[in-house]
Amino acid sequence: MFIIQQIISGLATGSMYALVAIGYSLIWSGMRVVNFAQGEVFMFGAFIAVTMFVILGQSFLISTIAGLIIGAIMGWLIYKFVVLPNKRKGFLFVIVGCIGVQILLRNIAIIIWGSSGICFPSVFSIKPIKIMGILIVPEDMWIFCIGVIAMFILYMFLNKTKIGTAMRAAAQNKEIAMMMGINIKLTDSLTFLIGGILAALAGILLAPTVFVTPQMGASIANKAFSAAVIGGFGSVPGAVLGGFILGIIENIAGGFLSSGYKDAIAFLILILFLMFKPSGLLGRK
Amino acid sequence: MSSEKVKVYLDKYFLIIMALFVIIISLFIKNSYFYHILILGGIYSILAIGLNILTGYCGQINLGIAGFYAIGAYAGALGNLRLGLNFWWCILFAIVITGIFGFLIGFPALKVKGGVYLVLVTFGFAQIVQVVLFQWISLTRGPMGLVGIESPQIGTFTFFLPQHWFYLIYAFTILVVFIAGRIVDSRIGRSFIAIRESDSAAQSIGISLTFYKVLAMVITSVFAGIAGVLYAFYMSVVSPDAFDFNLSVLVLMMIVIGGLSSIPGCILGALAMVIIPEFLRKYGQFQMVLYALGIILIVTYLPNGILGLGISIRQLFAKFINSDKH
Amino acid sequence: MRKLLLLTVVLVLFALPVQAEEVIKIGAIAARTGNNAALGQWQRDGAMLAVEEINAQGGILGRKLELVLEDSQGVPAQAVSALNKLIYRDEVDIVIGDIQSSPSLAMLPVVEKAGIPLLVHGTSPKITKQGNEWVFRTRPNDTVKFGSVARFVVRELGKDKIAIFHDSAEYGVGGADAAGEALANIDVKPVVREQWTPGDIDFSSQLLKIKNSNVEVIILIGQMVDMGLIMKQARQMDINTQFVGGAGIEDQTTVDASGGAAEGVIFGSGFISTSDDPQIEIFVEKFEGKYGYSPSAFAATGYDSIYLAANAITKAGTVEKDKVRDALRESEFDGIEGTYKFDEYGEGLHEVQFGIVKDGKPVSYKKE
Repeated sequence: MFIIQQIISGLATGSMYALVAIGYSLIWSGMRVVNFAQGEVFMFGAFIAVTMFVILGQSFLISTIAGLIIGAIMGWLIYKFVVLPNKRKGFLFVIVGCIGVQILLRNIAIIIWGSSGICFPSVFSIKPIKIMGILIVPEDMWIFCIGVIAMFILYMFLNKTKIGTAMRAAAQNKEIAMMMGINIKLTDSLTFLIGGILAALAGILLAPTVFVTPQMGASIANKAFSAAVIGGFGSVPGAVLGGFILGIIENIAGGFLSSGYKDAIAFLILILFLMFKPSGLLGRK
Repeated sequence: MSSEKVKVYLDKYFLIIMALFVIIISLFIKNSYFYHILILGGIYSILAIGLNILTGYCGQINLGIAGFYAIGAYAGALGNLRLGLNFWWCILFAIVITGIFGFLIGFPALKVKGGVYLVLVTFGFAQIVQVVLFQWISLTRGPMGLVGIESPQIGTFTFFLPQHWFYLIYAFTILVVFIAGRIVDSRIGRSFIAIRESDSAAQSIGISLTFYKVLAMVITSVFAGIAGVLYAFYMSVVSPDAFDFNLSVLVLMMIVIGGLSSIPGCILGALAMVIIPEFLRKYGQFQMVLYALGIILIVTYLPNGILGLGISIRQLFAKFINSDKH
Repeated sequence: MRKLLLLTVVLVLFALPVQAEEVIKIGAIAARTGNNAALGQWQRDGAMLAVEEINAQGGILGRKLELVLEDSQGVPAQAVSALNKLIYRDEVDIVIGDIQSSPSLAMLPVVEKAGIPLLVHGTSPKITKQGNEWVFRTRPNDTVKFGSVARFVVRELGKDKIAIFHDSAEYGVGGADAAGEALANIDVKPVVREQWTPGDIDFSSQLLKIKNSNVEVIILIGQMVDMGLIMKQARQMDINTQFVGGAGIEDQTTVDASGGAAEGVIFGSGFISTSDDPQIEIFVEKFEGKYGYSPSAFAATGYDSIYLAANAITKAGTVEKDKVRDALRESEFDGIEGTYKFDEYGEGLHEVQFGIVKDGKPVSYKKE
């Protein structure tokens, strides 16, 4: 019973890790680049939504859409101004550039919204539902369901639309894709755009359950990163799997081991995978 | 003087220039704040030079140098407080421990071809180090940190005033510059550069990839460990929150600004990254925003670093002229 | 060559001291960025208010006060850099800060070497145990605060099945240790002790363990937002145990984050904003008038520290640092957070008051 409760609680967190992790893997598979600013897009999405909802009094739906649009724009801006100019120079420059963006966004958020953050009032009731002796919180269910729907939409996009297939082709082999007339610049910018939307979505989903602060991007980014690696860095289904596994294992570990080491679990799993199975669970070798 | 000539000149006489710099500063400057900034700059220089060996010369990206820095600092602190070792023995102690960790982390990570996994492993490693330092309270006193680390001594002389520390730190910095210079100029250094340029080409002329990559990793870790001990003894206090991911990024920035694979560049980069934020203090809230913008701009438009400013400007100029012809 | 020359010139210019003026400079160090930036903001706001009030009345010793603010980013090395700048470049007469213990500890050797009084705000007991005669703490330290809280729970509330739930930062660990020790002294052992990492968003695994342990009281020690979320998630998990905490748990941020679950929380703090003490009422009114939000204990600390400094300087009749230090040591001052009397270790406040959150606002605790 205890374990099952932990697992259920871990599903919502896992869903969030998965959304952000997909962004990492998508960008990596498409462009061989790590976007270290994903966490901050996550945070900004949440802030835009909360500002619209709380301060400007818009409906939840409009606030969400605004947040997603901003997420997309930010993803694209990062691509255009930081990743694209630095790609030729090598991996190191892109990484450092993205980290610069991360610091920039975090501090801009502090200037605009203050360092203590804003409270997002609960959109759903806080009262838990009891099913077969297990407590399920409506907010968590919401995060889980929307997250899964988003992943499904993404799956349809990548596999059933022309552009999505083009993106996958470019990820597999750039030269052949180019020869077949696929516009690499378009697929690359789309990759970042989508990554931005997913991160912002995760942020907006999380926002009603926590306090929206400028620092919230940092820990999510690390965890999602580990999740992506566990699932196989570069594999989108892997990111989903990794996200859920991480969320659940963290909870179980926290339940049975010292709760202080809960954070270390994520990194420990990360390193173990890197040492013994660097391609992750679903990644290509 | 053209930029390339300046670079060559600097490389050759750098040790002398540094020594002169130290002497002149100490003769004319009395302000403790100033010394403090330079001392931090000196410690970070050692970190930067260390990282440069692995990332600049050997081309392997290390995203977790803060982890080795932390191990060095805590080795120094614990060595002094728990084992009663004095400063000099702590340096040795830290060298051994960080070297071992460098090997343990480097060996499996660098066996895999391609540098991506080292990035991820070092990233994860530094995070784990910080978490362990926070949690292992019986060893490290966790977030409360360790205090009361003794000042170093030679004979009856104690390094206590800022000027003393200035000499001590820069003595170490000059030593590190010397050692790094010897390494870079040797067959080892040339092997590093060959590996950076192309894994397969280097392998084809008989360079053992694993051996040299791991060696570079160990050298970097050891330098970081030395810097850590210096930090611990200078501050006389260590706590885990000082060794976070931001620090690893800071050091990466230093070598990028200074121009990868240039030892004088590392020192300029380190000093710049310590001094510039101090200048930015007066902008209050915008200090970090400007700092971040600076990072992005420098990385994008000055890939050769400050020393390569001349080269970069000329490249931009050439592009501009060429585009006219169309 | 030119670049090196340029760098040297820049460094030299940088070293020239700023011109001295006819003001009394108080240096203030707090985190302006970083995870605890909010606390720094409140400390700064409280201090600024005090400085303006004092200047409006003509300043001290015929001179105006000037507050020089520096950002420590919550990091020891930065705090030390900031301190060095304040002492040697801005040439301040006295320093207040930092709110966090880790940077504060790093600042101690510098302050001793420079011979300048420091009104420190970190709460780790270690800060005053270093034998540093220049250090004066203007908040109740963790041992006092959480020791009082622990004793309160057992004696006033009459509960002895207690859980201690704290974060892994020095405030959390130090406070938990202090509470545990105080409980041990009255022969009570906490049933369970759980921990979280600052910034966590999901506390269900720890809360589940606490729930299964059937305690009567949960002592909560950590950052405000985290504590708010914990209380919220606890309610979601059908945990209705009484929460008790230290300063911060009653703050608006925590109450908001808890989504209403903070109602009825009991806390120990040096400062309760709705107290009917006239001195506090005036302070709250002026603060809200100037800043538009309700002051917390951290703002009160900033405010009191400035007045303590001013008081000591006036008493000493000079800004000479050793005389100010001596004046501080002998002070007895009625501040917002209580009566300050510094003992030989530099501890200034020796007790806390207890309050309870009613209708989302902190009020004094009255036994029913």
